[in-house]
Amino acid sequence: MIQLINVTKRYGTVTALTDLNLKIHEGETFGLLGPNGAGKTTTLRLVAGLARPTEGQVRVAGLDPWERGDAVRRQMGVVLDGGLLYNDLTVWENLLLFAGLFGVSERAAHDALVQMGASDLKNRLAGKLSKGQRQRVALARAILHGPRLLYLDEPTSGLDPLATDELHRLIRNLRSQGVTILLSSHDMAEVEALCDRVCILQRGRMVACGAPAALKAEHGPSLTDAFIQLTGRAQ
Amino acid sequence: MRFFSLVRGELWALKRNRRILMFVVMMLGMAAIYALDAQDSATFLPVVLIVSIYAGVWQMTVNSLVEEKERRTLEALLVTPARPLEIIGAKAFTGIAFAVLLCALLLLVFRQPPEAPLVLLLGVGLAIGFATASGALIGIVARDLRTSSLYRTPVLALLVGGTVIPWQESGWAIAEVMRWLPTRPVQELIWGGWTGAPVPLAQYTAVMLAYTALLLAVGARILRQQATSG
Repeated sequence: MIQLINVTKRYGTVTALTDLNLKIHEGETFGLLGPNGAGKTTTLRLVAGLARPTEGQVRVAGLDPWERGDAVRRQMGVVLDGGLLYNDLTVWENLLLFAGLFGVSERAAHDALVQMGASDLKNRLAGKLSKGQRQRVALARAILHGPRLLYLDEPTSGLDPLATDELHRLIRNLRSQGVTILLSSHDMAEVEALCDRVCILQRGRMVACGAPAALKAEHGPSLTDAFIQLTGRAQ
Repeated sequence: MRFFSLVRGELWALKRNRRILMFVVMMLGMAAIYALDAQDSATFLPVVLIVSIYAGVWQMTVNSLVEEKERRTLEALLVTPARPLEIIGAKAFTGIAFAVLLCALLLLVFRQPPEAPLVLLLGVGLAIGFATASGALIGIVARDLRTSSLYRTPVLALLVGGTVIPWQESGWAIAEVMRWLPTRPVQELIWGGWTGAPVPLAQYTAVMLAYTALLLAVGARILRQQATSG
């Protein structure tokens, strides 16, 4: 589904990614881990076609996202950190706006809202929602066009355990429907619970990649230990 | 389709924007006070219209674009098939529609029919075009509301100052500078349209179009640079 081949990305004199090789299979839930500034956002920008690799190649569903950004973004749903809804619009207006941008019907927006259990929020102003409700609505907005790939950036950051559990259930549900999920998170328990494979980035370089169980077996008793050991060693 | 969805989104946000509502009420109130003095309406009308157009269109175009950057909702839009030009275009279109509506209301408040309506329309149209182009440019360049104010406030002061200050009575150098400000030609056109007095139509139109085209070209170039430097 996603392939990054020897990708290096520089912004002026700053190197955000160095020689990154990554292959994410269709239907896989893939975790992207790393401290702030590790290159997670740059990876998303490359995958979404918002940035062009300085060196190397990026392919999403066989397409070059920089050249075919429109086609790639039609297959992608994105939930960015904080949900990023329009606070002055109602939930329904937020969904209708994006339904129009993706060229799908109001019915699809309604179905997405029902699927995310947020249809009771339809007429509420987005600015008045709790964080958990915002995330559910943001997820509904991201899937209303039936994307094959979903990028989730810190989806449960700041949520209480109940809301986190509910969101995990929704994410698993999407995964069971065959959606490829790229999850960027700082929450190791979340990554371990949801992801088939994990890639750890440090200062733009991949320092480890594999199943959470394999990383734990090799680098520490828990994924957190493995993360600290790997990113600490890289520093 | 995408463009109309974006415009619809702008209109939804507009109907809940209390700042804009306050601005409209304030401008209509100001116009109503000036309209009481029928003799001097030719002096006040261009000023009220120009201030309304610049401040109104800029509030719509600049604020809406910069707020999207500040709240990061622009990032959510950019990962959809919407293109940056469509996003800016939708905001500019809404700003233009708002300015046209506000100008119509202001003219209704002044009650008298203009002597040369086409000249008045030309002046209003050129002012709206310039305000939209400059608003889009500031919106593209500014990172947040603070930096947008840094760009916008001195320019607005200069433009409004160029309209309300009786610069003709100043020294030669000041008068020459003021003569070439983008407010001056539209002010004269609106004044000429209202009173029926002759104004150099072709010259003023050419000056305003040149300003607008220059701003659009600079804005498009910066936007292209931002898009391709990703």
